[in-house]
Amino acid sequence: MENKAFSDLARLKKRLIAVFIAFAACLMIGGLVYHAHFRASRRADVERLLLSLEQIKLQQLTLWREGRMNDAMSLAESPVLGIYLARFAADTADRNAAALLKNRLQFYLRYNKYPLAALVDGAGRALLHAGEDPAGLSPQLPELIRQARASGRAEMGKFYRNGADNSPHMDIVVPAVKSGRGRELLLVLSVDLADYLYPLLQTWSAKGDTGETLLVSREGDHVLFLNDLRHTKDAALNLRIPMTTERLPSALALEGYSGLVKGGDYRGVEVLAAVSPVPGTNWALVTKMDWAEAMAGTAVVGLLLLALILVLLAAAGGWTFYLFRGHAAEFMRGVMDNLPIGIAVNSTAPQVKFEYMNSRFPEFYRTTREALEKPDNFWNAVYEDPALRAEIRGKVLADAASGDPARMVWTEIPITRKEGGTSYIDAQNIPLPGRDLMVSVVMDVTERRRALREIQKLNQDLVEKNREMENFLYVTSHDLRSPLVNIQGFSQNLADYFAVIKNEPAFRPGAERSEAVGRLLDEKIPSSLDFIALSVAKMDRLITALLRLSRLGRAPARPQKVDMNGLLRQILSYFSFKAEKSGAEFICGSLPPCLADREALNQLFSNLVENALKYRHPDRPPRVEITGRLEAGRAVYEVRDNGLGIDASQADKIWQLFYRVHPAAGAEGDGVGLSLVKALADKNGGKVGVTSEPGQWSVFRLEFPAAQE
Amino acid sequence: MENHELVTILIAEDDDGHARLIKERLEAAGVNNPQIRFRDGQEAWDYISRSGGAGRQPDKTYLLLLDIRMPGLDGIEVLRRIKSSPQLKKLPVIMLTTTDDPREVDTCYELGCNSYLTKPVAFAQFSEVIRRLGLFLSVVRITNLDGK
Repeated sequence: MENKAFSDLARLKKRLIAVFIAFAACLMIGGLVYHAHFRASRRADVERLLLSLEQIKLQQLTLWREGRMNDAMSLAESPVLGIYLARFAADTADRNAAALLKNRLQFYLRYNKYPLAALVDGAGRALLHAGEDPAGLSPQLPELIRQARASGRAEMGKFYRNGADNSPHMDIVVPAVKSGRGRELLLVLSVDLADYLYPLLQTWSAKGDTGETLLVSREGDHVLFLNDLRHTKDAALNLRIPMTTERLPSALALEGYSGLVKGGDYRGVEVLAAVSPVPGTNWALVTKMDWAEAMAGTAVVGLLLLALILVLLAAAGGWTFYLFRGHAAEFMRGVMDNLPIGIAVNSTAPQVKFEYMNSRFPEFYRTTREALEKPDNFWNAVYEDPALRAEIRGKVLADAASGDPARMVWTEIPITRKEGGTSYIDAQNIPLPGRDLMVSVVMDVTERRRALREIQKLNQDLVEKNREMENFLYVTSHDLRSPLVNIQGFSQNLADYFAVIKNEPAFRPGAERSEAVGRLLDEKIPSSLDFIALSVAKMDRLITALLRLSRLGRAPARPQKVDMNGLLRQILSYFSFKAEKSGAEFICGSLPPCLADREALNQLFSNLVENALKYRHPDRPPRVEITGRLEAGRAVYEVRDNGLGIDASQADKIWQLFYRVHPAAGAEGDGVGLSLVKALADKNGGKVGVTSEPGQWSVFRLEFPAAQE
Repeated sequence: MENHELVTILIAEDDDGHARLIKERLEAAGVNNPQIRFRDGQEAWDYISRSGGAGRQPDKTYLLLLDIRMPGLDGIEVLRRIKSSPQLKKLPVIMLTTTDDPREVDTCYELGCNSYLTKPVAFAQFSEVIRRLGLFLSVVRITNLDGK
């Protein structure tokens, strides 16, 4: 019925698996692509952020530097200071001017974020100051003074650790007095970086835990970190890292690179950084964020994506399996419904209830699925006759309750319908281990039963016919013998009477008798008597053979293991006298034992050997060779002679009763010997056949069940 | 005394030829006992069992030559009747048959026949058998059936 399902199942399985794999692959590739794209865009966002921050910081830094220089310049050139500066330059001992200058400077410091303002001479000595102790001023002050003197503008010095409190500072120096008169004076403004610059750098306008901006400069082969760092304490002016450190963003910036870098920062942590040198300085600015933070969300998104993919895969797999199972179930249903047996799974107690049945099951019970599935309706549906139903139900339930599988096999149960007669089933229950269920198997054996009955009947008829035939043979030969006894007896009497008559002087030769009477007495009567005697003897042999044949059918064969070597020795020695007379030669190979009636074998082989001698070729002494071997569990023997042979056209007829191949040869042949051979072979589960070359040889091939050695 | 009296040979044989041949051969072998011939089993049984009123005389001794195959009551049945009768079971019975079928021989001996003769086609042999029977008859003393 479901042929499509039949042929398609294997292909469907392959196809479903292929579709599932393709779907899974697409899903994974899509997921990977999406995730990669997501990371790239995330990275781009972070990069944009870092770049813009870098730009802002760079601008702020530039503005700050300009602001600080402008501060110094405007202070130095301020008219408020100018008069007193000139006076102080003219005479550094002018206390009044000094006091006024200091006062002005102090006033300035009050509203500007410088911890120290000082006036120094060309050698860098502090002549007066306001704020902190000038002793902590940069040791590089003389260098800075030279630069300022040369440029005539404000100059910024390098960052350094203040000699007084060791805090990071930077000095700005500007020539304070432009006229060449008097003492050279320079204004020094000291900047407390922690107070004034670092906060500017460290304001991180993007939220985050790892982002920072750092200012670096090069100090020989090292990168010197100028500001305080987020992740390392007290790093400003203390932390140095070799320029050669690989993928160090600040080193790249110091080498002049400007742009985005992915590398490892001073901690060795993977970071994404925007870098650029700070124009007009030997600084570089690095705005960076930890890679981990930059990509922080992506891992979660990746996991979510993975989870989504897995859920989709599971769903697809489930769907595929469901689809396949549906087809497989259909396939199995097709198989089950096409079996020539009915199968059901059911409980038997307390009532027959079906979990499953194939379409044959109700068919063999000659009812419908609906009828069987009705609660507690099995017995009513199957057995119409209440008496039979009760009987079968009782027996089946008792057998099933016994739990003995051997008892749960029922054969040839009649299923009778008022219309449609009786059919027969074989049924078997197979308990399912560990469950309250049985597998019920049922087969329609009506036809088998009918065929068996027919065979039994035919067999019976055959046995009957055979017995009749044997009986007929027996009775016939018996009754034939009865008149023969008379013919023989009375012809014997006649011979005796004739002898008496012949001995009468009147009838002796030479006595007076007519010629005709003389011929009768001397010739005709004796020869007639001889013919009668010969015929009687022959008839006797025939009847005896017939009797033997009939007896053969009635006597049961008693198969036993027969030592064929011993048997043939015995047979050949029996024939040795005849053999000697005719110059015959016997050759007997080693023969395997076989399973047959010993007496039957004796007669059979005797007949064959006798035939070989009887139907010898007149031109050569007879030669009889007997060989044997085992062939596929059968003992095979061959009796080969060099006699007259049998023409192929006669090969089938030689086994018939009274058929004679060589009527002329061997007068004593009666046409029974080979019939007997065949009958004996048949009776002992054997086979006999012949091959021959007429005028040359014959081989009789015999086959019997082999005996175990 | 009575033992000197000749045993009467009863011959149950349906075939006239056989009956005559047996008679002749017995005579030829020098057996001169009185003979009574019956044509079938029924006739023989009637005589022996005296069921017809006349027949066997209690004071005489008998020997039965019984052919197996006879119409009606056959030899086997007659033998069974004789051997199952308390009065008759001592009657010596020699079965006559045309074959030496071992099954038939066994059946007869089982039923209790005393001897068994095959009617051979060659009557020379049969004569020899009969001769031996004559010898047997002259040697064996056969008491009469009632054991007197």
